[in-house]
Amino acid sequence: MHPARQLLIAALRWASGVLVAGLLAALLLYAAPGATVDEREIDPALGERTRARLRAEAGARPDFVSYYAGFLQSALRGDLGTSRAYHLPVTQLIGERWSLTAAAVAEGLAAAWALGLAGALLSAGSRWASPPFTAFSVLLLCLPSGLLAIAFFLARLPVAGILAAAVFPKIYQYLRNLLDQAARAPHCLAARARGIGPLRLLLLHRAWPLWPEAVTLAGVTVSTAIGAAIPTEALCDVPGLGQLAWKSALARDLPLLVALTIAVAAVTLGVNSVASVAAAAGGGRRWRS
Amino acid sequence: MTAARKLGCAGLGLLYAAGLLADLIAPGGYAAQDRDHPSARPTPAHWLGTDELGRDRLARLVHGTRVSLFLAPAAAAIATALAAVAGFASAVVARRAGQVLTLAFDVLLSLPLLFLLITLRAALPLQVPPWTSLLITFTLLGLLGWPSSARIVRAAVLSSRDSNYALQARAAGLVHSRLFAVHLLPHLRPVLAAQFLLLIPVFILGEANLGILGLGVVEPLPSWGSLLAELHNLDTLPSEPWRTAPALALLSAVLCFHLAGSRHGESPA
Amino acid sequence: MTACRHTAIPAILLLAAAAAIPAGPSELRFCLRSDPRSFDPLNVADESSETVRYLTHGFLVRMNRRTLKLEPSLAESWRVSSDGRGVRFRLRSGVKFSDGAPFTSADVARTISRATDPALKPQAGDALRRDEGAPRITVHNAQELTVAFAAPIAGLDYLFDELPILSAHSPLKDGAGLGPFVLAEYRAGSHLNLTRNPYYWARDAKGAALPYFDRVRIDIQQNREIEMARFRRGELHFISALDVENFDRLAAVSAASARDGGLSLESEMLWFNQAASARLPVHKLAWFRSTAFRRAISDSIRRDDIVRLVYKGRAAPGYGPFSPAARPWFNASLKAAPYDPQGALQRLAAEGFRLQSGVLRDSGGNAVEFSLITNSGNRNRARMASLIEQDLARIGVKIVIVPLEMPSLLERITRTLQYDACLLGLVGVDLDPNDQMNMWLSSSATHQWNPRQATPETAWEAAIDRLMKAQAVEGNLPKRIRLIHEMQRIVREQAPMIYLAHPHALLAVSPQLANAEPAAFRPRVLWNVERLAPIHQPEVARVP
Repeated sequence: MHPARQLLIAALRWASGVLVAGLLAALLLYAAPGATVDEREIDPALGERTRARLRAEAGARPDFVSYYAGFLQSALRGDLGTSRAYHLPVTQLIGERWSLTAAAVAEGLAAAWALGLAGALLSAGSRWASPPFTAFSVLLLCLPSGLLAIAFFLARLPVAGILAAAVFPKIYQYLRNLLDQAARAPHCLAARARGIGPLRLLLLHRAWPLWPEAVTLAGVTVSTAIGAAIPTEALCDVPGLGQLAWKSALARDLPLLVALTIAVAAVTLGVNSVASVAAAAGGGRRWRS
Repeated sequence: MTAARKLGCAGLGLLYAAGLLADLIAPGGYAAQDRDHPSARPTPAHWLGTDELGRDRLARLVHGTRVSLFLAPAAAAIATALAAVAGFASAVVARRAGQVLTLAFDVLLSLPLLFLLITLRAALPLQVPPWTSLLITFTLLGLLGWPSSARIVRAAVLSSRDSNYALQARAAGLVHSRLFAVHLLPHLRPVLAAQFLLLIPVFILGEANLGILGLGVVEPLPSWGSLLAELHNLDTLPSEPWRTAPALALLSAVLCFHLAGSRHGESPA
Repeated sequence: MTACRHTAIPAILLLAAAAAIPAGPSELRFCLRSDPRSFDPLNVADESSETVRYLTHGFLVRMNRRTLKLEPSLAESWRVSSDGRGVRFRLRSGVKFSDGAPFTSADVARTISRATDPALKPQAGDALRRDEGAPRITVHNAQELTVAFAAPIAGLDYLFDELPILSAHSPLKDGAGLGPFVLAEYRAGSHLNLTRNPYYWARDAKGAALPYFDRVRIDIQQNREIEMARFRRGELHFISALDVENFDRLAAVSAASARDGGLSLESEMLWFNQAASARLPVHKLAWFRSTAFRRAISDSIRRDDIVRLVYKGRAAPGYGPFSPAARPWFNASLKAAPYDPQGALQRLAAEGFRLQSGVLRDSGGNAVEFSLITNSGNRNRARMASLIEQDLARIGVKIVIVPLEMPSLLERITRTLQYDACLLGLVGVDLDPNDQMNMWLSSSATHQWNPRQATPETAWEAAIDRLMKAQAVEGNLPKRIRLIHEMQRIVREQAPMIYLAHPHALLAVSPQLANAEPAAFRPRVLWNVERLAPIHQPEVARVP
């Protein structure tokens, strides 16, 4: 297939995925209870008229099809609507915050991958390195995110560290298991029989052929890190997209939540598509060589 | 069996025994309130002290063991099985169908599934018996926790499918079903094992988070997740170390699962 | 080496002290739990927006949150007419809005007109709008005006403690305020920065311009543990609402910082769903509508255990709609509800209920069990629910506790009415009984147990309606108090709301903050914000 056509198909697939994600998010929110209620309605100190106004404002929404069609039309013009909770344009809210979350996710992923890769390689190469890394990854898995947030705050560590803590166990354990399995593969046994040194065996014959799987894992860990950013930013009160997503969910902020879902879907689908293409290309090369 | 696996199995045996024998270990029950002795330090009557309502912490821990240690691995198994099936299917079906399936995984990963749970809670009656609520919760966790792993399973299947030994097997005339069942499926073991082990603590902690939606364990029934959620006062932990018991129990359980499933130290031959 | 060490130590101490003394402009720092939902001063319906409005806008009078007496503010004097229908204000002269526009009677007249405009219906005018029509405003001169209503209004002058005065002519429109600070920056979900209003009118006894602080920094901080940690690091000057655990932790290490403001106006209560439209099983609706059933449930709950175990003694047992702090409205002749399970069973037996093998059954043989919904994430309510569950088990009643996230809970109690019983709290903001008017009127949407009744469905609800309406127009204070006391007696007798506890107002105030007079009433620390001042001490309230 011509590369341009391939690219076009990939772009269409990406766009359709993003649109479906937005549609399903809006549908979920429409069906969820509490979407047409304002918390202030139960405040008896407010007058009947004020509460009636709040009730009318909270309940005012078009039918689902009209809403999503209108949303897409406005989105094409660059208008994602106005947040119900913040009374500010959604584009402004996202624009103010995306860099903070992007930086935290990028730093968290970099740290998690550095530590996870190093841990997996060291554990695969030395029986003494495995217990501390395994114990550390298990410890991180077992800590409630609220506790982790407080601990990081008290230790004055960056939020990216919490994201790294959420992603590291996944990277370490998948890679570690794959490296262990690779040690039993025929080509590694043959290499050992030929007397190839342990470091060379580990890096070239066990680790290197796994890079397509690692690329796929990288794509998945981006989604994991974005997912972890939501509770982390909410718990640590970091004004990023994760906190925005959390608050918009609690406030049933339809325009904001649909826009954020679309943004997350765009990144997830984009990263995973790139990872798939890279993995496929890598897979072919690996076995041909 | 290696020493590590033996240790892991023994540890798990102990933990499961504690869960099964919870009524014997703590005959007073998890809900009994000794209101004259709230927040008590450990005593011979209350080995791990009491909580703010005077409930025996040990009783709550062992009864919580029953909830978490039986249901979380079951939910992890459901999610792992679904990831295996979906990932495998997306790799072996026709290319276009595989791409559609992969797209579906990614869309599922991006969705705010929280609202699915909220809607589901609204559809359930309020007076759901505690254990039914628990079963529903962990089943939901299992049913929703697989898409990211499915992608990794797909990648593993694709790379195995294109491997030299698979080519050789095909060239030798091996039928597809046998090729997949005998040669490719075993290669998924490390990926699935990692997935299973990762999901156990995630589900145990996730169950506590679902409490905010009215799903999962509700008072007075304990679970490890709900007991861990009480560990918010970090600075009081050094003076009241017994409060860390649920965290240590979870840590031990997950470590034991790792050790029991570990093949490290086995001969690669 | 030794000499070096000796000289180094004072140098380090000096450096540390210098670092702790704020350089440049002084800044008041505290947190809000959520973003302000509105910056429109006339449409404020949440605590965060109220706080910002309090800092940026001026009011004709101010209630001293310690003495509960009104004090002059923008009005230097005022007089309520003998019939309680009008009030004449004399305004301060020389006062300017934050943009330099002069403040006159015309601004007050314009503000009241807007607040009571039936077309605009702003929240700030809720208390001033009357069915009889808008008030008549007579401007006598630039400094004097009279506001007259068609019918008497009880506590009329207190209503002007909550009405922000806007400019009639300022180029900045509602952006110009008469408060001590001006909003300089707002970053959603992150922070607000306020700067000193250069035209603020108040001066201290020595004639120095107020406020003392040059800036205010408000961070949006939802996580209470992190807020507490920041306070202990010295990054915040106060926390206006602490839970009892954090309060005790703070008191253990810094007794001076932990301030118990005494009983608040807040109440924790539970109620049963009595709405006929609720589609409850017939037998359940019959239980919930039975006064004997509600009283039995109320008498079976050990409120002293709730106070002792949930609030660690920093609360009073629930008496009724008014906390003992709400003087003179609180009916002191009502004692705390008794714990009397035997009496409760007798009441139930008289209604045909019977206890069989530890299970309470109604006359139709239905086991008495119901669900109790409450908002998730509130540890105190979860504990209260657990105590209630055990208490009621003693009379054979089984309850299922269901925590729900707030929007789902609100949907159930305001829209679908699909619930049996609900455990929630009421944050009393205003001392005046009119603050609770909408909860007690049977026609109201916030008459939670049976909202929006076309006509009162029971005689006691009709009686409460009459009493609440009568007190709202009663100008004679002792008579008004008697009406409110009678209303409390009926509420106790009928138990439509089962009051459980009235918590204390627990606060954290840094010793670095001078002139703080924290009160149980909102805004607890900020009510005299213009007089709050920094104390430049190198190391105060530092907690290990």
